[in-house]
Amino acid sequence: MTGSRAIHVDVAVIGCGLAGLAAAQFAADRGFRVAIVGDSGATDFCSGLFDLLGVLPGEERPREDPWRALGDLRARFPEHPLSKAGADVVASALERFGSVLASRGVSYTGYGEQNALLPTQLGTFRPTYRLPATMWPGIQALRNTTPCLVLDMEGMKDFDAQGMLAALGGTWPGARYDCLAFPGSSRGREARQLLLARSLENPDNLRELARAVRRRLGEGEAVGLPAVLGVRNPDGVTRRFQEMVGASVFEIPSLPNPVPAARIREALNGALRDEEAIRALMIPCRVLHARAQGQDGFLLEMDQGQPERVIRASAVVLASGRFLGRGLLGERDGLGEPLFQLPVTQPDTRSAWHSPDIFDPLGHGLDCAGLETDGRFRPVDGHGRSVYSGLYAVGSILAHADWMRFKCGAGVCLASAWGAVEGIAVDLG
Amino acid sequence: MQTQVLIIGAGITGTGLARDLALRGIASIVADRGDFSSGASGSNHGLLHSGARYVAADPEAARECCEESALLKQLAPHCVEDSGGLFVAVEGDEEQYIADFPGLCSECGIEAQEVSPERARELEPALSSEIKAVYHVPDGAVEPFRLCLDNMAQAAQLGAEFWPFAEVQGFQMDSEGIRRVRLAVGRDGETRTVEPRIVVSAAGAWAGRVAALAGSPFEMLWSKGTMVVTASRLAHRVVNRLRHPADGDILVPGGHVSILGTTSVHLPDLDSIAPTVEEVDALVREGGRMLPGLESARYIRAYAGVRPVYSSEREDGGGRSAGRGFVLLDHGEEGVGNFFSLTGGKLTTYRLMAEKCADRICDRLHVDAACRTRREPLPRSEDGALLEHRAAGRMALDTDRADDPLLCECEMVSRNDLIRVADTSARQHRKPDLAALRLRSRMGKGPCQGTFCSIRVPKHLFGEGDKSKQAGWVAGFLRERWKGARPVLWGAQLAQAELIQGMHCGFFSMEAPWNRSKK
Repeated sequence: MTGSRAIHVDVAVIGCGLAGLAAAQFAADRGFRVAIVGDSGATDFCSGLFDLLGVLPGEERPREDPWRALGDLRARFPEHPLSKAGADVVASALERFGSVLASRGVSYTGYGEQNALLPTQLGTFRPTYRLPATMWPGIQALRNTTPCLVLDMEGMKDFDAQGMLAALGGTWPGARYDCLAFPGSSRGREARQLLLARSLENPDNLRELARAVRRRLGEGEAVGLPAVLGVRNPDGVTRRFQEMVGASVFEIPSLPNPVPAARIREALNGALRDEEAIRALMIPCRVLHARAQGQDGFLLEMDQGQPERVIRASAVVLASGRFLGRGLLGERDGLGEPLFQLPVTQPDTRSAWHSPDIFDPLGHGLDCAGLETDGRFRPVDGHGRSVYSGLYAVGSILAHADWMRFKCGAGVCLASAWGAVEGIAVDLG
Repeated sequence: MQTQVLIIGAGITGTGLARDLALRGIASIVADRGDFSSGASGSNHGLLHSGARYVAADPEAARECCEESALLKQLAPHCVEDSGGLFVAVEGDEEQYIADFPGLCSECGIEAQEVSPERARELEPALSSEIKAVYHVPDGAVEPFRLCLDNMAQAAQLGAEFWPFAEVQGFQMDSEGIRRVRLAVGRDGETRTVEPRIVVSAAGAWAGRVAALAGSPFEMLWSKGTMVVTASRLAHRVVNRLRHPADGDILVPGGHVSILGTTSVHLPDLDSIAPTVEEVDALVREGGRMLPGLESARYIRAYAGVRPVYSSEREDGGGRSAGRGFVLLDHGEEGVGNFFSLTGGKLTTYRLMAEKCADRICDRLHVDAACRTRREPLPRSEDGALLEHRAAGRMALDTDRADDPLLCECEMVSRNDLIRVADTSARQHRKPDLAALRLRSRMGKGPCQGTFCSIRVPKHLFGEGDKSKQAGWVAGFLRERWKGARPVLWGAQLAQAELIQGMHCGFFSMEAPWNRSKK
């Protein structure tokens, strides 16, 4: 590790998922020099929905008011990252992150302070707090049972418009399904959402699609389609498309679809290089080794492909995710954190990792495993003492979060990122 | 409805018997309370035994295996991989057993050739450097699902019928024996009555329970065996430990994977047959003695089956036993003149079991027809064609086309492939839901264990009516896959589990109480 080739920053963020991007943004907001390092990891499977807190384990119904639910969470699950953060931090984080995204044409909306209940293509319903504005008219159309044309694209493997309507049964009587060939695409090719989304940023392509849609559209119908209306500035693309079609248009959230994650990534990428000034370096590679050097902060070694292979940082935000993102490793004899060898809270034996039922509503032991932190999101040891001064952990790597059961993924990512950056601001003055 | 023979159980025993009978001109109905191969026939390691494993404990079974495995290789080559097998001893294994092994093999007619440890490691580089004695034997691998389907297919062509999801509710008896059999058929449990001349219970571990319905109960021992499947194939040949049979001492190739088996645990009942973390750990530890790579390998799932072991002292009296490995019980002695139980035995010897039972049935029906399965090849049916591991054969770029997309990308199963499988399933009176398609193809059997194909298949194959119920089907399918995935979730497979849960719980919220109650 040659010091001369090192990148010197105040804050290094490890991981570029939602939590990492938010931490980088919040740190840049405070004027810190920031580097964010990570490959796209697990973010391709991010739905683009911002869950805050959808349900508490054991409850039969989804929560309508996530803010009230936060109070109950705090009483029942004081160790949950959202309980540690508190409602004010959650609100600040959501607001700031939302406004950054909106400034880049990726705005989010919802029912004021309430959760919305979204249908999925399997016919299930899920609560979420904020959803992309491009998806919002769909919620209203369903609520008002507005007549609607839901479109599939020829060659699309996973999104199933017909299946969604069939599964919703009679709850949307005015909705019908049709399938379009994407204009200009040759038959027999798979229609990949990311390619469609990029190609629709071109107004000519958008116009052609609008023409095809108009030919099939009935009087007074709204148009639903998978999330393909642009990667950059989907707000603008959707608005233009709406004008071209002459009807209300909405996108339908579904998985797998890499578009929503790509939108967030690109929006933040743009925001962090605002006005030609680079406010945070985004380095698309992995951190291989990390070392805490006491007063001298941290030394991170990246994998090949970067001329400067070493980062020196005063503070580190660990946002490396869980198993898919390789923030945690699970071996036959237990869980570990590979970069700093931090202690990982986990069930006693591997038998207790998972319930016999994949759909156990109470969740799996492993989903509450992760890094134990103090109230400021500093990883702590078995005695509750911070392991390294200046080290913070955010996002899904945290213990007690179980984002899948609580429906709190974005909430945990954003709130812990905010909380960690607040802590760094205190540390670094 | 009348039939000559009603066979209860559509495992390899039942379907093999249906084929043998059909080739002798005897009609049968094969009824199973599940789909085909739903018991031990669908949850074994697929080892085509040369017999070498049994030479010390059960020479008669060894001789049967030797003869039958040679016949299967010759007559059903499309269901068999004639890989050969090695028996390897590692440091610390019993010297006497090693010394006796070649002699015992030769007494049973099994060709066992000594191989030097150096040569063995050339043949199988994954073998441990600790091996001290090695023999080559004519072991092989067999695809049990395909074997079942192909037996049933030929039987059906000759007039036999297959009734999946047809559970016996009761027998109506008269002085001769069973006069009528009442079955609940299909998901709705429609009642059907069959008047058979002969009833054969080929219900495997459940044979004692079926016999009890006819008032002739007998005791079975249930021995649970757990196996684990690696993500890639570790050895060309079958590898056995050269010692008295014990846990974790067989590695069998299964197309592009390897299967490590087995454990043997006595089961008090048949309610919980799921593999456990402890069993998997024991297998991996023991298997690692022979092939150290098993310690670090990626596993995609585990599964468990129940060996039906006949456990009655009556075995020695009255000539009921047709062989040490399997048992053919004639319930005539208990006053049920037209009822047989055919159970125990091994996959390798299924043909012999069918032959012996069919001989007895011919006697009873006064049909003069010789067994033909000993000479005639088992025809390759289309029904089982999609059970082949075919990833390597489908790498051509144009296979993944929008008009025939790959729905299961792990195992390269396309939409048109699954349409054929759905046709087979429908022909077999089995509604082609996700479970039926998986059983008849390799869909959902790769590393992702159904994460993506579970939502793609409904999109591309199901009509609107079925799509409206898809959440329940997808949940059932993923629950079944999970049973096998759960004990092997570490390393890369743990990341897969996060993905499947992230999608199906995190996003689709299949676990949420309000979504569960809808199904």
